[in-house]
Amino acid sequence: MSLNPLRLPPVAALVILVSLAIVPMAIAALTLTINNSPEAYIPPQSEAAILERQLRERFPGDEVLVAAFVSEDLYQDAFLERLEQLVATMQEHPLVERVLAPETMDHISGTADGFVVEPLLDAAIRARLDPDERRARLLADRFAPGLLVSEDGGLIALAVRPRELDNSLQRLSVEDAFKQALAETGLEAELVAMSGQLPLDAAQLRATIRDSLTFVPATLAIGLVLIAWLFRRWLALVVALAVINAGVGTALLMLVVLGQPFTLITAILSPLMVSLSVAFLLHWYNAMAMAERQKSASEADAAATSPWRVRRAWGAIHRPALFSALTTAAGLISLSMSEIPPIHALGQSAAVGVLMLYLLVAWILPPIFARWDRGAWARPGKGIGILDAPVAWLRRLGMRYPRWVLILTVLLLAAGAPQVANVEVESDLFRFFHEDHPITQSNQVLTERLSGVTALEVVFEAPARDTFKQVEPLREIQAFREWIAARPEVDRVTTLVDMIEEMHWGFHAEDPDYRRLPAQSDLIAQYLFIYDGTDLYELVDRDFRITRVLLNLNVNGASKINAVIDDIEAFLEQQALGELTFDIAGFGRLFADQERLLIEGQIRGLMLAVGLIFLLMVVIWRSFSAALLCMVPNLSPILVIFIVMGLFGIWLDMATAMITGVAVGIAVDDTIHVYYGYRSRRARGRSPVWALARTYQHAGRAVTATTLILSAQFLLLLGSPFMPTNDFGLLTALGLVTALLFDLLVLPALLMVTAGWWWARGQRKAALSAPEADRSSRAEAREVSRRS
Amino acid sequence: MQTPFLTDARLFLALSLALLWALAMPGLALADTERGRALARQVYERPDGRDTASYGTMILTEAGREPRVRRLYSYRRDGAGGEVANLIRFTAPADIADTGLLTIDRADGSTDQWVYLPALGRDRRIPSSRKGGRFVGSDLFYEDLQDRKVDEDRHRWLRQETLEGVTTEVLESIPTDPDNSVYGRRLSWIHPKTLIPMRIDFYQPGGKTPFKRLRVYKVERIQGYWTVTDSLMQDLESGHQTRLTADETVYDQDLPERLFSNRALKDPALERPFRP
Repeated sequence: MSLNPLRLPPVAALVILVSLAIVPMAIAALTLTINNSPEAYIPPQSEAAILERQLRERFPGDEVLVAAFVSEDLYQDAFLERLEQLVATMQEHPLVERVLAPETMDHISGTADGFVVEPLLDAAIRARLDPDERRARLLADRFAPGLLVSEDGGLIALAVRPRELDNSLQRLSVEDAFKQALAETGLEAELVAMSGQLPLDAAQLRATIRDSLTFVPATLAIGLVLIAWLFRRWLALVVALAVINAGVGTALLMLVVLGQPFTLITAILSPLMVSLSVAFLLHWYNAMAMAERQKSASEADAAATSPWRVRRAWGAIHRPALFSALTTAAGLISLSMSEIPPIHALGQSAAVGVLMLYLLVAWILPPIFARWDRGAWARPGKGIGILDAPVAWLRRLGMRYPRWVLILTVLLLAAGAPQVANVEVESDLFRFFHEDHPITQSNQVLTERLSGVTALEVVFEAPARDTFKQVEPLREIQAFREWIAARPEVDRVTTLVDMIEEMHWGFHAEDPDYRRLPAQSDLIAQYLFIYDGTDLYELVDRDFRITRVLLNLNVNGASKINAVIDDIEAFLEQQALGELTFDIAGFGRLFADQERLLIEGQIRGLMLAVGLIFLLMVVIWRSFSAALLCMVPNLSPILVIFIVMGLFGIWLDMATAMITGVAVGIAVDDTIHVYYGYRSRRARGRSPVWALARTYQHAGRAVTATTLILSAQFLLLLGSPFMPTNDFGLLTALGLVTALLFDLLVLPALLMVTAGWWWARGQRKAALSAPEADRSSRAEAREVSRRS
Repeated sequence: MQTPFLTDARLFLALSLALLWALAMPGLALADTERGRALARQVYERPDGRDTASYGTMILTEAGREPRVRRLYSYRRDGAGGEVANLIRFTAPADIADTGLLTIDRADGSTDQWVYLPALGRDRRIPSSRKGGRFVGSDLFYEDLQDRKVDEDRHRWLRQETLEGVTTEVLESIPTDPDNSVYGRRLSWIHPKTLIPMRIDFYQPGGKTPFKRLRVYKVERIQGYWTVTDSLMQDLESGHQTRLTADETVYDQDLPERLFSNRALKDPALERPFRP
């Protein structure tokens, strides 16, 4: 039974199209959450995520908003009063767990007959000190320098620590509340830096939303303008808008179904789906226009009717559209090999979106166009005719000098291949923004004047309660502290031992000889027994069975953090820790783990993409050698992308890790359209030269136009201030253009070389049996060659 | 149908009642304040002997953790001129045995506190400003261990309320000097017969909801004095709880003044003869 694209009643098709254009988008808009936190990038069942959850049941999180102030009057009442007011306002915010500031941080001190744990500098203490004494008090504190005050005393900072937040909008709300409190207290002028994971996430969210609001309409506009310019039909334009909406809406709804939030990674979904929708539509509209051009005299009457045109166009593209939908989906689904949830979800959602696009274009649009499309289709705009010359030139080059083209291509790729080794697998959240972005500059100020903002926690666990009141386990922590503090990547180390040393010192009237760990466990237990502050329990649980060492690293890149983690593990494994076990946690660990997941996901994803596409090619062409041949123009762009990344120092990070899957998935469409045309003509007994020439005449312009439109849409992303979006746009466009060059130049060369032998053999056979046919074929080939 | 006269009469009545209420309010408020102050004084002056010695348990509990149990002796002596002295001595667990806290609440409202660490063999003064510090990691603040004079708060009787079947008087106490207390407000549910607060809700300054709550679970009459023998202080935010039980209590032993000295704090042998 033959397939009938017009079986669906037009009204039903219209209702389906309108419903799909509205319903998924509306549901997604109402239900999609936004969460860009580090936790969103780690699989919930991964070791690091489980450890993180367990740790947060006992200890506060390390997500903070750090604000730093510089002023001539930092230690005057006027400034400190406003700072206290700011702290008080933020303490009252329902999403804030604690504000670490001179006013709220414990300070341990001793006198001749006393001992006290009191606020470092609150209003009461401020009242009895002059500005110089206040400065001296902050600088003399064991914990404040590098955290709340710079070593030179010229900068004062505070850290707002939120409660466990569920999504990025809450982070944005805390940041907004902080900015409002800043304005109310009049401290905006003194603020020189605002950084930490919370503002970073808020900045990423703002950039993501900004990009979405900019690039989705922009890519949409480009697509619609080009469709309008090329095909000049209102119906084509309105239908395109509905199809794009349905494609984007379906993909976003899929995100909701997968339980994934909108992140900076999944934000790419919308422009990606717009581009893919435009690609599918271009092939359909091009086929409609071509159908009309190709009508013979006998078909003239029939061609005047829309159903005829639709059937003809459908016959030309439904198979390649299905094949390209399957291969694009395969390329995208390869991203689901990544364990990083947003990448995983992006692949699956986009794949489902692509299949939806195929269903719409192949089965819903034909009845609509058959029923409501009136009048003749304009030839694709003349402007696009300028593409014919370069397309023809490239194809001729590939056909006339196939061996040279192939040799040169291999040589160029071989020359560039060593650059692949230079591709650095690295993610640095702070390099996601340009150098002049406030978050990058703030990070620089804090790293230079206070301490690095990458938090790492080394968690020690003992089997029995009160272990960390004993001298021996504490000595192990002390030894670790001494070792880690000497590393250049470590700016600050805070341990339980520091607190005990301070109490010992305070109890001995601040005699420097006593700023050490006491030798008796009983004394340690008694110090800890009478400790009446709050900071201690940020370092040890109330059972004194689990303690954490807090590290501030001045490196932000995942691989550099991983190097520190590896060294810590190696060091601690060599230590005689007895019954103590250790784990490494915190934001640094979560982030560093992403690097491993990225590499594994990239390798597995690439293998899956190549394997799936190859298998589909075998099924589609029913030929192993044809499938192998079609892989060449699609694998080479991956190599070119990696060469360019190595050459220009572009990191393989969260965003660029997705490019190969996306680029191959899209680029393979062109190969399919070209090779499908070539094979159909060859199947009809045409010579390779003739088949190639006709195929490129018909499909060459369409694939070139599609690639140029898609590339333009991806290049738009270069306007983003957000580096991952930038890199993604640039490299995907590069992959698409490279794939096009391979399709136009290398594929004909390959086909010429591989088909040459078969053609020659066929000629010999034909010459023996039918000399007339031979002459005819040769004349045909000459004619095609002359025309081209 | 309503006549205009009736409408005017109702309006007049409503205005008159409003005026009466406005005139009466200050008087009523004054009455509540007086009643509150009188009640606070009654509670403060509740008969509790010249001195007390008790032996009990402090149990710290938190969800998901084994409770921490501490054994302790505590002594109180009312001195001349309104001075009140307290000594607390821990006896278990072993690593904190003999750790002590001495508190002297002066007649002028000031407080001196010292802590003694046996492993160090010395005592150290705790500044009086440290009212909000947690006493030995419990839910009791140092301020909760101090004697609080009636005049240090403004009191107001709020209402009568039934608490677990018992009618109690609800008393509001707000520090006259905000810097004098870590609390912004305290609400006490006072048992009228024993004059013991059966429940106290503690509010932070500016707080709308209580952050700590004391519940009295058991009151016994010992030597003729009503004595709290089981109480629970809850941190309503963290869920952390501190239960205090008194297993043995002895009143009026004529505890000597020297028992409440730094020397006695450092030498547990001095208070041993007075243990219940």
